[in-house]
Amino acid sequence: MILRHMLDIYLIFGAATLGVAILRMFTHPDEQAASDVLMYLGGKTRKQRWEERLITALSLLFIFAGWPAIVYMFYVERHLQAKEPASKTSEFCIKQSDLIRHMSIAQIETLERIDDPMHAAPALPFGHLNEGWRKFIAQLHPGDALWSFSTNWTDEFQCDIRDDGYVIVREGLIGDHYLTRSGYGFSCAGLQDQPGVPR
Amino acid sequence: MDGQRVALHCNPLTQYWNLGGTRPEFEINCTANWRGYVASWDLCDGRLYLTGLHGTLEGGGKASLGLLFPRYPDRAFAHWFSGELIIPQGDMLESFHRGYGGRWERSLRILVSHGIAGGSRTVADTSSTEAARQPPPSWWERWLAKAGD
Repeated sequence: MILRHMLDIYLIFGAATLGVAILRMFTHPDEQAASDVLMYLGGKTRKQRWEERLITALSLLFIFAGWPAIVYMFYVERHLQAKEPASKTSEFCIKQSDLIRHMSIAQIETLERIDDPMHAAPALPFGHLNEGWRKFIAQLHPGDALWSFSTNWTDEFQCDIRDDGYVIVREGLIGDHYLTRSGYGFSCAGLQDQPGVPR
Repeated sequence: MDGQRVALHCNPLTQYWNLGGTRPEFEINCTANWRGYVASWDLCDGRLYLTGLHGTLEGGGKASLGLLFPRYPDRAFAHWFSGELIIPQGDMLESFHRGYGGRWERSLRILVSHGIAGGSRTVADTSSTEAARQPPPSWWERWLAKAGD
């Protein structure tokens, strides 16, 4: 009996919903009505309800499973950093201990003169790079000293770099420099010669 | 070299620019050549010479040896270069899109001081050179590598 009345109530509500939907179709022809009637009334299809449940369940799963994973990744990162040897990066800097020989301009220019048998370079000190040398020595003040130097440093890629050249020493302080060689340490590993020393 | 045309896995011109030589602005029009130029070298009687320079300059002009060394348009003695000339030999073991494009069985290293060759050695596998020039892996690359072990 109760079931029968419930069926009646169900049918009445169904007929009323259908009536509202049909009425709305005529009064609002632009709206997509047929399959969206339930949504319009606040209801949801079975598929939509399952989709919502699935999304909620997955969201909760990712939240509960994801946060510990992120915390774990940060922990591993800190652990790896702690185990890493300290970075040995250093900057190019000429120290007193890098100075090799005190030399005059004439000594350097004799030593660094380029003489190519095929005449493929100017027969001048530092050959193709003579202009830079002339600009460098133009900075010299009376009383300045020129020293040859060789310095090693490590770049951001942990590559050992060897730089050689000549530097101005003014009142005991290291000033501007002129590079004669700059290269990765591994590629210079077998080079024995030093700047300012006859080759 | 010895009458043969070989590949070179180093850039001796970079040292010229590092030591104060004027570097023209090259147009980078190919991702296979980020330098923007191709240089030709000749190792003649133990001396290293730059014999060619090809590329496009920013603005559209053609790069040439005469542009860098106007008085030496055919051959310039590379007295500025000190280091190792790296010549790949044997089969390519691995190909990748960085550095010089791969790893070879071995490489011939010619030691050069101020443009003059002073000896050579053969090194098995070129990977150590490549690895030395690559930036260190980031933390997530190391983490993935560790997770994959």
